Amino acid sequence: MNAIEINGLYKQNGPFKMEDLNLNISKGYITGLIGENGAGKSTLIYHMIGLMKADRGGIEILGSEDMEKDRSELLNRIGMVFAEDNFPKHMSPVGLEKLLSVYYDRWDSDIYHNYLERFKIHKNTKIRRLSTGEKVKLSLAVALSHHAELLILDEPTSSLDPTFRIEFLDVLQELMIDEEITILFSTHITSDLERIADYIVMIDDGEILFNMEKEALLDTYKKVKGPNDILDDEINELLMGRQTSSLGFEAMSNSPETLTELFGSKVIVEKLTVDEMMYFIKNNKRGV
Amino acid sequence: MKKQLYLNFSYSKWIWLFGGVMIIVNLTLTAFQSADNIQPLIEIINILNIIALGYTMSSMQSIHARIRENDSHQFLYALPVRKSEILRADCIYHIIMLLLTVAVFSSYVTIGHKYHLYYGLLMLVGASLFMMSLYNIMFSQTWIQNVYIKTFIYFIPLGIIFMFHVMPLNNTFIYDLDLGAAWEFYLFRIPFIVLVAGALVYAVSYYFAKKKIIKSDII
Repeated sequence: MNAIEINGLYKQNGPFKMEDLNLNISKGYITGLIGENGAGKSTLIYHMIGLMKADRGGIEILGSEDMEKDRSELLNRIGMVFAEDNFPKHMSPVGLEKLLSVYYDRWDSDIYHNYLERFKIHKNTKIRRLSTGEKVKLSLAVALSHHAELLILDEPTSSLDPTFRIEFLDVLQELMIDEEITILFSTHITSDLERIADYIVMIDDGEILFNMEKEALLDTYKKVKGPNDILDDEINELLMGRQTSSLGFEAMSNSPETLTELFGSKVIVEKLTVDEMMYFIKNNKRGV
Repeated sequence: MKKQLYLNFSYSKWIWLFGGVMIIVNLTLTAFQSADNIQPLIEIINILNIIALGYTMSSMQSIHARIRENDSHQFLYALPVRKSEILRADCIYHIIMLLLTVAVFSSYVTIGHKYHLYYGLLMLVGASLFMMSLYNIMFSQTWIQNVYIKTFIYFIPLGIIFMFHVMPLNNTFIYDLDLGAAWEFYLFRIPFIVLVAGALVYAVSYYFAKKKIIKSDII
């Protein structure tokens, strides 16, 4: 069962184009959305929450295909944490609650105040006086206080200190105990995804490069290193995003066993990180 | 729609408080207008009333400018309300603020019994409806992009009307001038035509904007 189904999404926005994009986000899991700046992560998210309208194609979100018709109901069921500080700065967290309790049908004041206390956010301080980290914490408190079924986090951890980042990830993991919640987590900090994500989606130039289960992805693809003299056309077929230097080559491969069988200890097979995977896939796409 | 109206009122709290204070001040002055030494105060009150009317008539633009200034449009327009309801609430809100404008104005004209200025108010309200129609159509397609330029455009006809209709209208009464049939038509008939036409255009533009807004990108 999918929380989000995107079919043939087409959007032209200035020079940026998202062409016939298809993507399914499984319900009850944490999906990490990765990609470079300008790859289309935020554009994709804006379509999901109705801030942008597709030129063509459809998005089915939480069972609804008509975002405008069901916008009010859907956005009640979606908790959103934006990358940037978007709050009305003249309000305090308490003043903000008055506004949000009008908008959200299932606003839970107790949960909100619990999170404000847990995250040590000053309740009566104007939002403009809160630090960047505090604003992200407030954003998370808001997103978690109206019983959302789908949490969409657009690079929330980039401005958080390491201590709170870990706490933040713990909060997300706590939420996952109730498997009715789905989390889509867009981030640059891929180590966060290695820690909590179930699925990883990579987007580049408005195109989905892969959408795979994290464990399967990291089990299938490995980093291989070896001397340049073993490279030929057949070996190159087994490598992705190869980088060579005078010391040897480094690449990603989904057939590391074949290489080990052929060359034994001449090749070194290592576990990939998500960062390295992004790097090799980008290289491969560029035809390096 | 009530949600969006709540947002609009909470974002423009100081404008309707300012309007309310001006009503009280105007009515107080009316009660004491026969007292001596009130004349110097009248000049300040005239200016304050013009400022209050300017703000009540452009309250919607003030809200959008504040949202832009705060950069909070992503957050506020991702709250659970339909786009068409945002537009409807904004349209209704503008009408409510025009009624507040009429209330402030009505309290003002009681000072010195300047009831002839109502013709000027009709003209201003009609023009406001015309310009707000244009503003709503632009809003439905580009939301709060270039909000300051749009606000400036909104004020141009209102400024022209103030200078070339309200002021001559006031002078006509102060100096008891008889300027002929054409001026009579311009000063006392055109305001009704502008008001009715403005109201019609406002209603039509709402339906046009409603179709546009559901297809537009908010950011």
